[in-house]
Amino acid sequence: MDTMRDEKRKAIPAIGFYPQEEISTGTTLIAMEYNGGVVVGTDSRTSAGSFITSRATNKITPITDNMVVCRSGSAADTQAIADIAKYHIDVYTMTENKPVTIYRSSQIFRQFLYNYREQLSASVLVAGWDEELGGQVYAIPIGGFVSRQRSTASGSGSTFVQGFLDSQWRPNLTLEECKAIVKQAVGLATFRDGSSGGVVRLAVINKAGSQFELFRPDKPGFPFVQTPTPHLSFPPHIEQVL
Amino acid sequence: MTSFTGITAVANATNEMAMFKQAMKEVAAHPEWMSSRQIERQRWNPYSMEGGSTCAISGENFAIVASDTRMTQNDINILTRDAEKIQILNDNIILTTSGFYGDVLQLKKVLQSRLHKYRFDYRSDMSVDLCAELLSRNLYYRRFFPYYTGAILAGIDEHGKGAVFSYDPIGCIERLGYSASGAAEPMIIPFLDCQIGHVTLSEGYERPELTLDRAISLMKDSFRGAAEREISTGDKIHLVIAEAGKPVVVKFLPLRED
Amino acid sequence: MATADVKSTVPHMDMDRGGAFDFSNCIRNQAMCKMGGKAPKLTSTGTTIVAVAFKGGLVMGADSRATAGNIIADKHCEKVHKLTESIYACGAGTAADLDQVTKMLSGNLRLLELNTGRKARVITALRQAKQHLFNYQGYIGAYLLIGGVDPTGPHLYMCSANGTTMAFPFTAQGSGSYAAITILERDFKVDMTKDEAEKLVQRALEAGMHGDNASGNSLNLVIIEPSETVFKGPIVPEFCKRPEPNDLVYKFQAGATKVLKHKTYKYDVVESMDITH
Repeated sequence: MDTMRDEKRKAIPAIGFYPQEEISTGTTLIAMEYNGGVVVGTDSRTSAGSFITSRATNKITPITDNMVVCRSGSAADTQAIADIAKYHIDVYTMTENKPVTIYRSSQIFRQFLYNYREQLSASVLVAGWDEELGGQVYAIPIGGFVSRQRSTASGSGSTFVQGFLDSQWRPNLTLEECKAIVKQAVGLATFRDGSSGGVVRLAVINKAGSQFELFRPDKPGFPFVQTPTPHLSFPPHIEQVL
Repeated sequence: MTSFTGITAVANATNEMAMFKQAMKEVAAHPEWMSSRQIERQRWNPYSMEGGSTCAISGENFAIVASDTRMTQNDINILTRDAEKIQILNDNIILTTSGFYGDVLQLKKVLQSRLHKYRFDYRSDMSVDLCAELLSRNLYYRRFFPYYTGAILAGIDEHGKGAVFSYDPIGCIERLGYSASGAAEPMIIPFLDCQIGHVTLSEGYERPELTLDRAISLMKDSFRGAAEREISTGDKIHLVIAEAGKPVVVKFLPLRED
Repeated sequence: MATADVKSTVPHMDMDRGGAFDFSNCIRNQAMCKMGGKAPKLTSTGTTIVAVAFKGGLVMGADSRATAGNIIADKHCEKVHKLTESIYACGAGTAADLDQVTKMLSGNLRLLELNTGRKARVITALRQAKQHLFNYQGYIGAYLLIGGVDPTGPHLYMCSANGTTMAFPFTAQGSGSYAAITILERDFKVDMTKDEAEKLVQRALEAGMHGDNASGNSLNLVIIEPSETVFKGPIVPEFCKRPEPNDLVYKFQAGATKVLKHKTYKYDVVESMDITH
């Protein structure tokens, strides 16, 4: 996740505008359906260029009691979009006096992400639970195309775990199984992706509402990755201590 | 603050207005920030500027050279507080260079090796006048890929008099009484113009003689003043004093560090 | 006439937004540059600003150097801006933008307080700043640390020029923030005492001022607690003092400056006014 967006933006000396930071997108977002709702997991790194602006960001933004949105891309854009969409969803809920469905919420997000696709660099996962369809995940990448997913990963860390998710997902996962997969996936992605890192945040959304969990590297439960130890890189006659 | 200086003088005011209107039209059609030149300008270039300032003053029988010891990156980041920008080439030639530090070091190496060769060939040290000409030629040799430096060569010439030579990056040479180069050059030069050159002093007022002590004091004060207002100058003054018939003296004096 | 042309050539920039900014001079200035003029430079406050939350309150601080290019434009500029009695903002970025944004915020918050009869909240200030800055898509170069104490407790937020906001227990901004944040990351503890927090902010600022060229001269602190807000400063760290005074005294005798030209203007006194109050 970045604090600045749009690599097209150039300096405008005439008005004293010089872009402050380089841009590179980095986040890991994982979302997965299970038999009673959805589990989403994210890393917590926000960077501006090579500098980590925040190492404990919350990229899971609650929209209603039964819906969250996971943000990736420009932090400013996604925050603004989440604010605006939340406002619209709240207004619909009040005027119609019943909760807005997750699908419809995803369409509200789509409206903004599609209409302003030229000016925004924002991509979101809308995840939630409603009476009609149960747990749902809608992925909206940059450009504003919406698709419902059973298991999905987004952000720069996603490339490292697509295969893992494909191998782990199966129909009717239980909550515990699903949580374990999502947490492990975030762990694997942050281990390999330089622009993801920090803590792992999980959210479980089901009929009961949303529960948020936090896993820190200095506390038990963090999904550490054990890689094979390397072979000796020196010739055998040189003593090498591993 | 908003002063547009140096607008090309055109005798006819109407003509000038017409030119301005034309310029407005052209600029409005192709604003600078949209032009490829602007994008071109942001491309990587092989030079950088490590900030800092240097200065030299010559007197009747002495020459003093000083520089600060701060080295910066992009004018903001401090790389080191102990950079040396003054090279004592031999007992009566001192080189001080500001600008791109890579070229500063290269220039030092080139001159050192040429002076070394000179000692082998002629069995004596090079004189400062000769070295000054040598430096000029070395700079001009790279006319189209210059050493990105503002060099000042100072020392004691063959007649025992102080000498200061000032250069531009491509070898334009000038012998002066005093000179400065680097980030604080625009602040130090006017100060020395006033105190040594007495360019603003009316006739009939006292012009203090430029003794070694006065020169050293002026040198220190100009760096203290520059460190007050110029961000890439600070940390320490590196002061080198060459007096005819005496060994070269090197001193370090504190400056503000913020 | 030029405005219309600019509109079509500058992407993502709404010329008429609220009538706040007029970009038509961009074209005029460029035309003048084309004729050999030199454009003025903006004052950008290369800065160190730091804020730390402690048990029950907040310490915020800033250095006092403003730079224009590599010249120190102001040695004693005030970068800690008061928004309300218990909400302050430290700013980094373009000096003019910061002044205007903080002025707007303090005005709006005061109006809110008068209208509601309650103390404004920090989150309100943050929202206003964020939405204003997002509107201008980063072209208003204000990077803010907004902090204060309100009925819901102490809060510290960062607001970037493009509208990103984040909450922090401690943070630093500006060109000296890299040096400052190392100190904070090493020494920050949860629920520090006021004294500890104040010392920590001062040390972080000093690190920024020492390691960053564009920060220095002196530092200002503001300590915000529910009961009172204390302002401290300017504090001049040891390394920001001149180690040695000038050697010589530069005093010019009266009349010593060369007179190059004399010209006498004759005028009639039409009206006069006493200005010795």
